[in-house]
Amino acid sequence: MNIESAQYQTDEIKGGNTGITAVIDGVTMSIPLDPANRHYTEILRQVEAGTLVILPPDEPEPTT
Amino acid sequence: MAGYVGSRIVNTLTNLDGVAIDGAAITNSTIVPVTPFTFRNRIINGNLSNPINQRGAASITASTGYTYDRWYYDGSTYLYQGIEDKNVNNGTYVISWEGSGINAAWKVSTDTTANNGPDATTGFTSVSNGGTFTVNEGTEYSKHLWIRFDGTLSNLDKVMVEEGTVATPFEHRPIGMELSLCQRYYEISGNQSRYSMNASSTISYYFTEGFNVAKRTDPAITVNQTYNDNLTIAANAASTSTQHPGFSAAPATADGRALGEYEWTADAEL
Repeated sequence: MNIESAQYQTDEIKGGNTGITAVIDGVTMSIPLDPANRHYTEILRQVEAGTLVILPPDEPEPTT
Repeated sequence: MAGYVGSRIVNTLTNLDGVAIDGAAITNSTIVPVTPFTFRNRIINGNLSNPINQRGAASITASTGYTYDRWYYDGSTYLYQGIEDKNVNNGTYVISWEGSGINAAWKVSTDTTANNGPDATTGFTSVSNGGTFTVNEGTEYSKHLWIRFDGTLSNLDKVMVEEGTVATPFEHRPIGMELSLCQRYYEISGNQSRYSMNASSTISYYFTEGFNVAKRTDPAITVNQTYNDNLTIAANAASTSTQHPGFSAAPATADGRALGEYEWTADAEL
């Protein structure tokens, strides 16, 4: 997988980081923080290898 | 004459009561198979001459990654299918396929969690067409079983991995059922979903749809927005589960009409 960027998502109900928005092989994806998800495990592997940094989330927007 | 033949069959079955034969036994005049008569094939989408192809791949080797449903191509040599850990019990399996110039190998995962496609390209053991191998994990149902092919992959068809020692004819499951089995791992909306609202502010809204089939694990979601009139649709991980994809809808302005049309994919592959 070519992971071009990764940024945490937040959620006002659950609080904290709840997912990652990543551009993988040119496609924007919403990735769950689930160790059984292959995209998430690859993100963690690349972070551990020092080849990827997950950006902090944007300031949350108000939602209904 | 017909009655005579029927009587002979009944008598034969009665006389065989308690007699074991290869692959089955007859008990109380009931055939009891050692392995199931149906749902024998652990491979999903093995009928490659008429495959499930939700991604619309031009061929099974068209690109690196998942092409036809459940099939992962490494982009150069190998074609893989991972059989999910929860479907892998300890026992002896037999593999079979149609097509010349094909080599096969097998391994169980080195990891107990999901992997980026095949978890490693090493550690495979070759197995011939019609050959057997044995899975014996300390903790049953804890590791994926990977099947790997190489050679003239365009010839590969009618792939079977089944419990037992004797390869049986390819199991043609109903096409709708085969699609459902595939959709546990990958699903595409396949239509133009729409969301509209009266935007009195630029506050985002959350909403969900439903999957046809519950996913193996929380999936990665992509959104392809095909129409945007003052409303941007995006996937939302916090409201996504194995049961449904979650989305947010964000009006660009508070000008009233806001409409978005979009498609989505959900990926819970191994």
